[in-house]
Amino acid sequence: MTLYDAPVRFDEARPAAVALACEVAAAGFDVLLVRDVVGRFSLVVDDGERDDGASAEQAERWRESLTRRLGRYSGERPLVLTSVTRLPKTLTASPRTLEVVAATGTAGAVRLLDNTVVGEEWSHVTAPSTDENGGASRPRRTALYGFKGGVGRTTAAAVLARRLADEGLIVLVLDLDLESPGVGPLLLGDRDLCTHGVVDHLVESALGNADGLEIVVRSGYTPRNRGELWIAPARGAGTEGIPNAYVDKLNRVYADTEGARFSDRLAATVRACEEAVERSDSGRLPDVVLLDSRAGIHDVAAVTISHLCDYALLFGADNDQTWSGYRDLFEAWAASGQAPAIRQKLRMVASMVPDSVHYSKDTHLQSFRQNALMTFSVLYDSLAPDEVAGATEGSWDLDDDDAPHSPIPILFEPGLVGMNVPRSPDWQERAFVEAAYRDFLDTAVPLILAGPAEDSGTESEDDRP
Amino acid sequence: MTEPLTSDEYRDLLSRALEGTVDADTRPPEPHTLYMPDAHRAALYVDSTVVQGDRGVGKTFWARSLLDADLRAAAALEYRINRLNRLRVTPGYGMDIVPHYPGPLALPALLTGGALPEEIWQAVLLTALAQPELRATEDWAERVAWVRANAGPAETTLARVDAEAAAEDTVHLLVFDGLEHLHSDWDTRNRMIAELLRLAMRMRFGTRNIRLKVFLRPDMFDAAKQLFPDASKLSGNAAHLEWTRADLYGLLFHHLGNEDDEAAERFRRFTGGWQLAEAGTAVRYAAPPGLRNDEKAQQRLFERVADPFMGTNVRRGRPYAWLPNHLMDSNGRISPRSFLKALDVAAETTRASYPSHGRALHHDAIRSGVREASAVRVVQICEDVPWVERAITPLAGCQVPLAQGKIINIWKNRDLPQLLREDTARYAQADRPELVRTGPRHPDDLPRLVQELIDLGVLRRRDHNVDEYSLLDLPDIYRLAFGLGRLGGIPLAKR
Repeated sequence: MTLYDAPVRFDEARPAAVALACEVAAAGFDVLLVRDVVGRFSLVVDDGERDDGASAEQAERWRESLTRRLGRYSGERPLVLTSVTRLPKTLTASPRTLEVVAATGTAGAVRLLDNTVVGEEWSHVTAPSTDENGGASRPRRTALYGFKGGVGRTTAAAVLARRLADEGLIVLVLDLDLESPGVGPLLLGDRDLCTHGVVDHLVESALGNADGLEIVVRSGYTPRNRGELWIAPARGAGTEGIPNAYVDKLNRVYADTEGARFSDRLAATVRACEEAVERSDSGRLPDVVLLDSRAGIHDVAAVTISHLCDYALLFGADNDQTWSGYRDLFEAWAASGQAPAIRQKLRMVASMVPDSVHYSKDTHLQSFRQNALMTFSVLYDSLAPDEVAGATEGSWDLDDDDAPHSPIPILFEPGLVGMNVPRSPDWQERAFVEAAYRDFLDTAVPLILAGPAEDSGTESEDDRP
Repeated sequence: MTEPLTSDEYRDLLSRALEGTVDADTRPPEPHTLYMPDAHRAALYVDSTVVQGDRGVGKTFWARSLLDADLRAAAALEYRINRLNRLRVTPGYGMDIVPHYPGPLALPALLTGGALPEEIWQAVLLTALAQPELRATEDWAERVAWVRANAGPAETTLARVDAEAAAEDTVHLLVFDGLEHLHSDWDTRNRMIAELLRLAMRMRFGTRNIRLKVFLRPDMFDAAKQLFPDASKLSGNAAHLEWTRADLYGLLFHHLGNEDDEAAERFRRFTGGWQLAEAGTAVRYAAPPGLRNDEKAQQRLFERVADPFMGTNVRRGRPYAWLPNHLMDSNGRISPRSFLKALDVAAETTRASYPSHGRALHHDAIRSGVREASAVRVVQICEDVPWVERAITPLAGCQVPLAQGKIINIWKNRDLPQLLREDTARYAQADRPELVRTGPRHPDDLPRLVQELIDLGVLRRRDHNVDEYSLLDLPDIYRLAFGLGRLGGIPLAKR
């Protein structure tokens, strides 16, 4: 207890509002908490018809509690009773509401409707729908994300894309790092960039003007085993003689336009890139799409990880910035009830792992693993004493190799620092590069190729050991 | 092309091969159960005086194998250590009741009677080397008295025996095992071990053909080094008995290939490359190098026996890696017994619950195997180190990770130090000296007790700090049977 009346801060408002909502729900009413864009809460109590509704005395007590406990964070209309005010269905039945506490036999449910400017996409996790292609197999989409930039994510995307293409797959790498495009040049080789990029599609599609854009280009690398490697760059080459105006376009891509939210528009753009590949000679959609997402808590990353991909590789170095950043993200997912949906598509990548005679990568990875588990456990379930840790129970032990927190290592390779690709076209074939990425490729490739619902026991390879 | 085995045949072969392997300590090793991981080869070098190993990794197994002429011959052949064929091996200490050393009744009495540890070991050594005066009596007090009064003749005997052995090109080897049962008092036990190591070192560097081999837990070796710093000279050639993942699967395939039936024969034919070795009267087959050391080959073979994944697909993990990972203690060590137990249970559970499954081991049954292996492991450690049971049982029902301060509070509320002291006193006074046990080094210092449990592999730290807020965890192999839950959504440690 503080001596003076300390103001309620943002962090404290939500737990206080939820606690109060639970008290109201205990009286048998369903409760909806609505948080406005500046963070203030209103309590919407579904108390049915006028006759059996809440008493005036109860209502006064709730209103008083909310204003007292939430201070500046109580809304302009702290309490709304549905028996008094008829609310539009769009509010009470909005698909964006989250169930915070489920209803029981006696108590009502508590739900939360969070109105935000950005970042809301983090709190809803969906998988790309399987039937959007009329039942045909959909490309497997894997996101590559790093909370902090500069951890070698884009280079890894390039290495990974080549390996997958060498396995005979059609691979498309989409550069969603719109603010600092990069994967294009890494894979392009001696080819010319296509005229348009992801940003052009986002801008033109808002006006229904996207037909005919040239948004994908083949890599200069010729994969083995009849694979194909495609790039959808963030920034196209543009038309000669006309300024690209990249910054002006970028300023417009994140807007929610009439009839389409940013997340839907980004999904449509990814789809358009995939279909652009399908229109090429092979006439096939990509087998694998790698989404090189930008860093930080940004809507592009939120949409990419929460909605667009079916698997996400999270890059990080073993430092406090990385872990506190991921912790914030995971807490947002956990708080909005998304942990079970999201944790099965996440996997940690330990990038820039040092390995020297005096400090081995194993020592480094052990510390990394410890910190990763501490961070990921926000998303893990509790285990009863007789439950064995593992994917089935949604909770993993420290040494679980298949756990989301289990790091896939990429060795730090000073020889790659400051690389200028056009002057070193064969960089991926150098022995030191292959050594640095060996574990990463051997582990990540099967994980990416495993469908979420593939059945076990069907693949029986009878080769002699 | 030979037909591989059906899933039913694999399952039956597993059950037959693994039957009874869980009681390895009470069943003497036999030629066909003797598996020799490459990493254990160094433990058999005559000059490897100290062999370190935790509970259940094979100290007693190797001690007994060295004492058995047939098994020694098998090891000499397979490991290609010819020197093992030219040994005279005598037990120097162990859990068998034999006349070669003072047993658990005689030894405390000797010490109470004023015998010094170095005199006792010298008497054991000279008895083994057939000092006539010592062979003339069976009373250890008389033998110790002779040693005390005859330092000169004793030295002469050692020199003579060494020279004779050199002439015959043999080595006298004394094997010491089960030293945790030497004495109930921690300090006395450590002093006994330190003096034994001093004698072992004198023989190692002072003779050419008299050697002692001492099987020890690493924590006991460390404690002895506190009393006898020169013992660290023995760590230079100290061998460690450890089991890597490849060793464990090699052990499994060895058992499958050494059953005496038609299925095992087909298994050998289909996997190929098995070497028949005649060891005494028994027949044993040595697995081909690929099945012993090549993880990729092992994994391919194991995935014919077990489900390829621990669920729907590879994102759920592969049993080949999943199983050992869930059997590890907090030091990353796995007892082969836990491993074989888990597989045995997995076969039984698949037979009972998934009889028509396409693989011999269903992934859910492998999970059940881990649960049962945990039960066996916990019984084992409670037998070996009873104070672990005292310390961990009060934590049942809690959820890991637990703050160190919280654990210590639980211990204080149960008055753990007092219980530990009572235990030590009870065992020391008991008229059943075979129950002689060891207690923790510092029953009153609870933070140090935490550290001892970490060293034992039972607890592990979950963060980099060491204070009352630092979080402690139990790996599944202990958590399951000790009845602790695991907490999801862990809040950061508060300081």
